Amino acid sequence: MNKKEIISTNQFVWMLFTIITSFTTLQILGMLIFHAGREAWLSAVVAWFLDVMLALVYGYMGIRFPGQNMMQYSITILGKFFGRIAALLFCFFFLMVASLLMRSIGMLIGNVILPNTPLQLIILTGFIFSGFAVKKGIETIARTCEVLGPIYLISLILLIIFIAPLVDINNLKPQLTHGVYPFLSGSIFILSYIGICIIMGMYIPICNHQENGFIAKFTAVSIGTFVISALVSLGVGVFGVEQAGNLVNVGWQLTRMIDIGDIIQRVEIIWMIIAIGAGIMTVTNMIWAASLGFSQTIGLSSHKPLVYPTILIAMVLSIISFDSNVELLNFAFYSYPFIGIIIESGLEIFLFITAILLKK
Amino acid sequence: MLLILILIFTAISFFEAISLAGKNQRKEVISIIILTALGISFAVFKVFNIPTPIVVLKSLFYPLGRMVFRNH
Repeated sequence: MNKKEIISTNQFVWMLFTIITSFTTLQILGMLIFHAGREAWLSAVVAWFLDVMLALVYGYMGIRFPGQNMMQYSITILGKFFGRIAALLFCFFFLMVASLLMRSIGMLIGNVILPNTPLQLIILTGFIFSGFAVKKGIETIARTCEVLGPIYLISLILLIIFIAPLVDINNLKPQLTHGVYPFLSGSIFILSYIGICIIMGMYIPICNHQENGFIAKFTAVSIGTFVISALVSLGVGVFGVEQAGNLVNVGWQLTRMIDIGDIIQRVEIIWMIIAIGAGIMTVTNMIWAASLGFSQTIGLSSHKPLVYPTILIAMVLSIISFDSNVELLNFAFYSYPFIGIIIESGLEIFLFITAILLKK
Repeated sequence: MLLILILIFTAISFFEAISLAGKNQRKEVISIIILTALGISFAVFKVFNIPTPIVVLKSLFYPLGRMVFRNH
């Protein structure tokens, strides 16, 4: 029999924080500024509120179905057939996010560090690391995030401190020139990315204090939103709204601006290593969730035999689904937010309402 | 290149399946075969220009996305 793996609340927080910030510090912030303009920070705040509301639902479901993750309680609520369909939707969603994120990381590395290296090789390397970590188990992943998360947060805080003097406050004014539509629709956009931490539904049953699920998510999403709001405000403040909206990677461009007394320069590579590490850990979490979901839906005793086949699917989708980086960005900007909202919010709220109506 | 990557992962999955077959874990072996076949078939679909699920989802939601985002 497999040993039950347990994570602490602290690890829970750092895992969620790593997931939220790794995705949003890649290409997403530029897109948010492109859409919401100077009010991008306001979009992040509204998304934070909506995500906390969503966390209440996930936290409640975790307590209502103790010891079960969202794949398992989907089957408890909807029965074997429809429950398995719902569980597979969650699995394929995590798989899609892993593909999308690894492709984004590959794009970033290919554009910035290794322009002559084939994209497939970069993606393969990332997935091999992920596969190794997933095989080691969630406790190993959690410990890695517990180390990497604080380093990532400190690097982001240092970035904010060093860049703040370069901000031209006039670039941030005036606010709400186009009304409320840009920042409200922008909040839906950023919510779909912050909402990836619905993976909390997978962590709650393995947390040593299951009742802390909501608190963990609240803490992680609050720190994550602070980082996102600060980065978009700095991006607009330093580059101006037009230029920041057209930058593929705002965080990366900001780190390039750091120059302390002509001595400390070009620190972007350090930040990049940390950001890529966090990105790969996020992919690892997604692959873990997808393979565990598949194994529980099928009824296997362990998810470990399914890790490499799951990675194979994610890798193939990551490579062949987008012919160019523009297609990837188009998908991330125009299509992904709806898929994210349907699965992260729609499916879970449907399960929540059904559980109450059927008194499960 | 993609073919090589697929072969690498198929080989890893194959060896894993062999060890599980030795332990008489049929359900696990069948699951590995199905998921590996799914991964390979997505790559084969590409050759015949059959879209992957991500491409299908992209074309499904793209018009809606154009209406909602950056439309002000």
